[in-house]
Parts: sequence; C-alpha cells; structure tokens
Amino acid sequence: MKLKRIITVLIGLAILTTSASAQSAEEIIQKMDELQTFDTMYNEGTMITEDRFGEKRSTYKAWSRGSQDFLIEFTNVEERGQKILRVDEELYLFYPDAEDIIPMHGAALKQSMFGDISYEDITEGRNTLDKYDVEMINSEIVDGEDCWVIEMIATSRDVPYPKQVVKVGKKDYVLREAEYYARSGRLLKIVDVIKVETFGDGRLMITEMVMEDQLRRGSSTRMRIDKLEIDPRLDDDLFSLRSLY
Amino acid sequence: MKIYKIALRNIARNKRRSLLSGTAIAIAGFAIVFLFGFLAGMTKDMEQNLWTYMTGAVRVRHSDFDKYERLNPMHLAIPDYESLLETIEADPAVTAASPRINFPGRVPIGGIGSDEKVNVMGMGVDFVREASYQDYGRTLVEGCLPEAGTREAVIGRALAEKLGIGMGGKFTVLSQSGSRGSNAFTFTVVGMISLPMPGLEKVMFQVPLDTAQRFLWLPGQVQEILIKVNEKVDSPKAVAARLGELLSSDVPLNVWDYKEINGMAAMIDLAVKIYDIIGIIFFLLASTVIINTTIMVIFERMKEIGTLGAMGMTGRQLVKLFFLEALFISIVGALVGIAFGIALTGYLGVVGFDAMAKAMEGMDNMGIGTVIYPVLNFKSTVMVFIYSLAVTALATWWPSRRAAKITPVEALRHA
Repeated sequence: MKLKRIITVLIGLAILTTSASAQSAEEIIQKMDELQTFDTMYNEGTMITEDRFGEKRSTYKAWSRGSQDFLIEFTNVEERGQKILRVDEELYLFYPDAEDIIPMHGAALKQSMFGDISYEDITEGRNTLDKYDVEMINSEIVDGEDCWVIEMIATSRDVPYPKQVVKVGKKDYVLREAEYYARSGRLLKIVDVIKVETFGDGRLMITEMVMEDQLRRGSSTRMRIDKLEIDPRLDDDLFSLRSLY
Repeated sequence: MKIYKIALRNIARNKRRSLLSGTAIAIAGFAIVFLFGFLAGMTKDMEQNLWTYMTGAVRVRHSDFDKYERLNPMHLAIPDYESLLETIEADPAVTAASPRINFPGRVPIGGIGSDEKVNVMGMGVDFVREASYQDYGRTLVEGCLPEAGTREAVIGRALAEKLGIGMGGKFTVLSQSGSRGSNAFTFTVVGMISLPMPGLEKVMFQVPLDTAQRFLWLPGQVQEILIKVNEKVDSPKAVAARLGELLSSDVPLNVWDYKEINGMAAMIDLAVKIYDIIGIIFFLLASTVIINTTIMVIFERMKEIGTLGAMGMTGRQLVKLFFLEALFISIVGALVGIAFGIALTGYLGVVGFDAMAKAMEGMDNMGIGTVIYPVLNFKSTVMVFIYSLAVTALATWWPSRRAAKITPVEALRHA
C-alpha cells in the first residue's frame, strides 16, 4: 500500500514536472518572439554568401510592421531596386525591368532568395506557438551562454520546416542557435547567432547571424544589420503592392 | 544464236514471270533507296540540330561552367569574346560562329493570384550574326527578328500557345543572373519560330544578346560560343584541338567537339553503322525473293532445260543463259525501283517526312526532329544499284549451276 502511494506520488510529480517544462518552453518561445517583434522597424543590412564560387555581397533596406509584414529593397548595384514584399501572408517580388509583379507561392518559396536563405525562411513570421508544439529538451552552453534547448514540432503542414531545435539564452531569451529538420529527420539548415546588440529602450536584437544550408556543401550566408531604427513612423501604403512600383 | 539474244527472247516470251521477278527487285531497290535516304536524312538532321541548337560542331565555354553546369553558374561566362571570335572565324574550317547566353527561367502565368509558372529556356543571340548560323528562313514562321538593344523576343510557337500569348504579347521571365542573384525582364513577342524539335519549341525563346547581357548582369560576356565547321575541310575534332591551342582568355576554356560534349552525338557513328547493317539485312531479305523467283523459274522450265541440253547446249552455256536472264531483269528492275526511290526520296527531301512525328517526339536530347528530310547520296543510289546487281547475280548463280548439272534425260523425265 505504501509502495503504491509512493508510485502514485512519483507519477504525479513526473506529470507535474513535464507540464511545468512544456509551459515553460512555451513561455520561453513566446518571450523570444515578443523580444524580436516590433510595431514597426527599419533596418539596413548586408547579406554575404560564401560558397565554392567565392563571396557574393548584397545590401538592402528593410521595413517591417509587426511579425508578418515587411518590405525589403536591395540597394547594391547588381540588384538595385529589386523588392520583396510580404503582406497578408503573401510574398511578392518586384523587379525594375519587369512589368509584372511575381507572386511566390507553394514550392516556389523553397527557391533560394539569397545564398542559403530561401524565400520561405523569411516568411515564417514570429507567431511560433500558433504553428508548433514546443517541448523543453535540456540545457546547453552555446558560445558561453547557458541556453534552453527546445524542440518544436510543427502542428500544420504550412511551415517550411516540420521540426526545429532552438537554443534560447536563459539570461536574455534571445535565440542563439537553431537547427531546421526535414520530416525525415534530416538536418537541413543551421542558424548560428553571431552578434546581439542592445538598443535605445534596452531591447536586445540579433544583428548578425549565419545560416548554413546543409544540402549546399561548403556554403554559408551571413546576415548583418548595419543600421536599425525601432518604431519609426511608416506609411501604411508601404506594405501594399502599390509601393512596389 | 547468241546466248544474250536467247536470254532476251526468253524474258520477252515469259512476260508474267519476268514482270514478277523485275517487280520484286524494283520493290527491294525502291525500299532500300528510301531507307538509306531516310536514315541519312535522320543522321544529318540529328547533326544539324545538335550543331545549331545544342552543342555546335565545336563549343567554347568557361571550363568551370561545364564542371558545375547542374548548378546553373551563370557567372562563369567568357569575357572579351569578340577577340576569341576573330581567332575562331580565321580558321579555314569554320563556317559560322554563334556567341550565346542560354538561361533557364520561369514565366509566371495566370495573374497575381496564381502560383503557376512555366519553365522556359532563353537564348541571347546576336541576331545579325545568328542569321548565318540558324536557318531563320525555315524556322521564323511569323513576324521578324528582334532588334538589338530592345526587349523584343522571338518565341517558340508551342511555347506561345502554352503561355497564351500571340504576336505583340508580353511575358515576364524570372531567371538567375550572372551576379548570382535573380532578375526578371518583360519581353514583347515580335516573331514566332517553329523548331525541328518540339520539346525545344515548347520552352525556347530568343532575345538580343546585348539585352540578355543586361538582364543577366553579364556585361560584354557570353556563356558559350558555338561553331559550325565544314567537314570537307576538317573534322570538328581537329578544329576543336586546333582552336583549343589558339584561343586564350582570362578564364580557363573548354574547347570541345560535339561528340565529346554529347554522348548521344558520339552515337551517331555507331548509328550509321547500325543503319548500314539494317540496310544489308533488308537487302538479304529482298534477295531471298530473287533466289526464290529464280529457283521457281528454273523448276518451271525443266522441260526447256532438257530440250536445250538435248540440242547440244553445254552446262556452262546454260548457266550463262539463266544468269543473263536474271541480270537483264535485275538491271531493269533495279533501275525502275531506284528511279522511283529517288523520286520519292527527293520529293520528301524537299517537303519533309513527318509520318513518324509522334514517335519522334521526346527525342530532342538526341537532336532528332519530328520532320525528317531524306537525303540522296552516293550510297543510297549508285551503291544500291550495284548491290542490287551483285545480289541478283549471286542469287542466280546457285540455281543456274544446279540447272546446268541436270542431264537432258533427267530434265525431260521431270517435265
């Protein structure tokens, strides 16, 4: 009888612990999303891809509103004037020499936007908990930072990666590393956060990261924010098809 | 009486039999002339299509482009190609050269809400120069060629149908650029082309080279130079070897002949040999008809053989008699058959033979078009005539010798 009670207590504790971890993982992800989401934001940055053919560098200006809408305009000479707009969960490409705006849906989103970064990589938004079940796995030191390791399993097919493992700093709730997996369990991409900076209101922002597509051997793409403005006033028309012309 | 006169008289006397034998030979000759003409046309067509649209007789490329072709490395282009063209065109065997940029792309269709895209293959060419490389007289079926510096395009008729556009219509192409980014351009259709390979016609459009260079961020560069050569002057292999030593560039170059580039092209030689074997088999089959007819004739004429033997004709003379009969019938039959074969092959050589169009679809990689233009040559005419006579002579020899060995008594008893 005594043994039965002990077992019941142990099982109860185990359930409690598990539920506390799951909740905790959700909170961490939610907090991580919140920290990286701004009402409006403007930034200028550089993307550098390195592969067997050498280095390719592009610069851009980007405006964003909330976690979903953004507009990127390339400013380097080769791609000057090319724009990528995401609004109403749709992605559109604008090229100065094309009379048509090119919508990107479905399989086309898997194409490379720049080096190792595909279009779908930039469409995911930050409402992570709407699309993934999260579970705390363990803790790990990443580049000297104590991090939670959280596994995220997609709840719908409408996501680029069915499984992700993210490593989030315990101190600041900032993503430090992420691994993206295919349904088969194959590792597809690794994101490594290189630099995190504190801005005016004390908020932390990832300003440099490297993405490696594991299917493109010897290739990596670095994204760096060179200039950042948080909560600037943005015209509503900016996130419309009209703004592309 | 001379034996050849007896032979001619016998031919005239047995009109039905002579006509039957002559017709068999004529049909065989006719079929073989057409078969060889068709196969020669197919081989020539294959070579022409490969040379014109795919590999050239000789192709010059950045060597790393060949190495990483599956990654579509547009940036691995050839700079300062004009100076290379000067060296290339100075070669005595070179008849034409075409500097080009090929670029795979996608054309969105169905408007802003649609995610449908059509895969296309663009080709940037210098239309002034290209007119002497591609046969626009035959392929341009509507409109005109684009002007340099414009965003005009000629487009495969089948591709235009697929995109749902006509003359004056516009289409936007999204492609990877030489800056290793992407770019999109809108082109206006000013001409329609009908290509010998339907698979190619479904994807191909051509635009001015300078526009392609701007579109793909390849200023002053081309992806490849295709070269046609006069094989009577020198072989593509020899020209490739010679140019390989002469051409120098800031980038490493591959100067390859078409058989080195395309495995299927290397099969052409083998294909020609196989076609010859098919021709010989066909001829052997036809010769069985001749042998059969001659044997039939000899058995039918046993009484005559016996009578001729009894009248003092020797075995040798009998052999000669039957041999000459068969030879005369063969000459006439072969001439008639070959004449008909030449007429049909010549006619189809002009208008084209498309009865096998459906079966030929999907053979674009081999460069085989759906319309074949049979070609008459020495092998398919004079040699067929000589073969006809030789086979008939051999086919007649054995039964004639048999007839000659029959004694008059035996012959008369059989009769």
